Amino acid sequence: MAAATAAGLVLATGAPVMAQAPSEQVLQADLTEQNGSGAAATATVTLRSGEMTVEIQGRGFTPGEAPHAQHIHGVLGQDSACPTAEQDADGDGIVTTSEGQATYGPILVSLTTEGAMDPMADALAVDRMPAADAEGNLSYSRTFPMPASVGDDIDALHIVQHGVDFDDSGAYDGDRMSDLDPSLPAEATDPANCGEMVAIPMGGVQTGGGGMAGHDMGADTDSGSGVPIAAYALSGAALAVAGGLVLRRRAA
Amino acid sequence: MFPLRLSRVLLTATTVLMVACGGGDEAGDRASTRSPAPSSVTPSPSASAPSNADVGTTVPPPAPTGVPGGEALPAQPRGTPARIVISSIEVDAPVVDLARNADASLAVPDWEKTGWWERGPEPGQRGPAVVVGHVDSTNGPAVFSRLDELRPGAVIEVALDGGGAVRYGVLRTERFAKDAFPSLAVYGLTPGPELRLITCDGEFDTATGHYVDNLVVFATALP
Repeated sequence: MAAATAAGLVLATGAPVMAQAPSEQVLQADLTEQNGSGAAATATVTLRSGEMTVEIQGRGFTPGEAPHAQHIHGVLGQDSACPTAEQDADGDGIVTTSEGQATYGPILVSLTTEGAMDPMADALAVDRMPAADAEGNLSYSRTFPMPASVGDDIDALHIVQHGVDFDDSGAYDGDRMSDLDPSLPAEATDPANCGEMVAIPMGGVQTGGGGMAGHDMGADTDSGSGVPIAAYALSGAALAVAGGLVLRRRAA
Repeated sequence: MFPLRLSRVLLTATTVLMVACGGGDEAGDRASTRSPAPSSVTPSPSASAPSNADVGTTVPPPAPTGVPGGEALPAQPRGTPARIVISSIEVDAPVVDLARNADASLAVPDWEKTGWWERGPEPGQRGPAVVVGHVDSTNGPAVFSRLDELRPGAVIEVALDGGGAVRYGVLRTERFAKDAFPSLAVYGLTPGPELRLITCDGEFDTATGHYVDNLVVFATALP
């Protein structure tokens, strides 16, 4: 018992609770449709301990077996953006991948489902790219070592997913061939959506000066709705660790 | 002699605390480059109601008279925020732009202003627009001092720089320890346009000069 109490005291008088750099960084991209594809998705990218996890959930994709090539695009240290109709250089009504690269830049990482992710060699590894289900829903998740081509500096880069079945034939086909690989139909490589990766703020926000501490604020909050039990528990743990450092001032 | 010396100590402490909660000056300067909202959209439709009338109610006030069409509203307006009006808790304050600090946390505005995470979704856009404000300064209440009084159904109005406004209804209020803050749940994308209001709550840690908790109000855009 005495040992346990001593250990508790050591904990209680440990390092003060201080702001510190987050151990992980989360980025999100709102992938909005290109070329009227109807394909919308949310990409969530987590950087942690030298690894990158990319999760993409979307709907409205060309369904079935049709693969959707997907990549991280950009030029490190430079602004990039998703293309608009202005990038339709040849005026055929479709912004191709080559035309779109004018704004979102070249491929930096090929987001394959397995194996290598080389920006060049694996860019159109369509047998290792995700396909949507029969309803057009697409789900992708992969964790991999941070690629040398981007390191951990991926804020403001873009994710682009490709593949648009313009004629609703159920497959990528047609006479128009891809600007990237003349052996593939253009439908297989035209951009379906695009979004900028944005690093979200991490941790709490320092929005108090203490001038009202110990007044009726706490009581009001405690009677508030929807306070999760887990949050209370975590709060309690934080208070226990902080120990004597935390001081509740009484109202005069 | 003693009271004099004590007040000097307190003054020193105040200065330190202001630095700890700083960052607002820069934010205020950047915001001043944006044009103010047209004054016609600023008054809330419920501004004439008693100050606590909206608390706890689930019925939103009638559509703003300034919006044409009344019931058949056009597409949701969207744009950068200029002012936030929460008539039920007497908030009517400018919104400045906020970036992230070096430690990846969100910067904060001056005591009397609110701040919007400038790289996040705009009001009216898919995802949560995030607006933060101080609960208090070093010597009294600040812009979001009554945020904890908001209940589900309370109405929040955000006036846009380009005119028009987005109105939100409060879904819920949650309190999180800052060192266990659920960043993705608060800042993460949502299917529709939403709003998050953040301020401080819980115990005040005199060692760090910060409250240990954040209060987060979750709200969704009203049609």
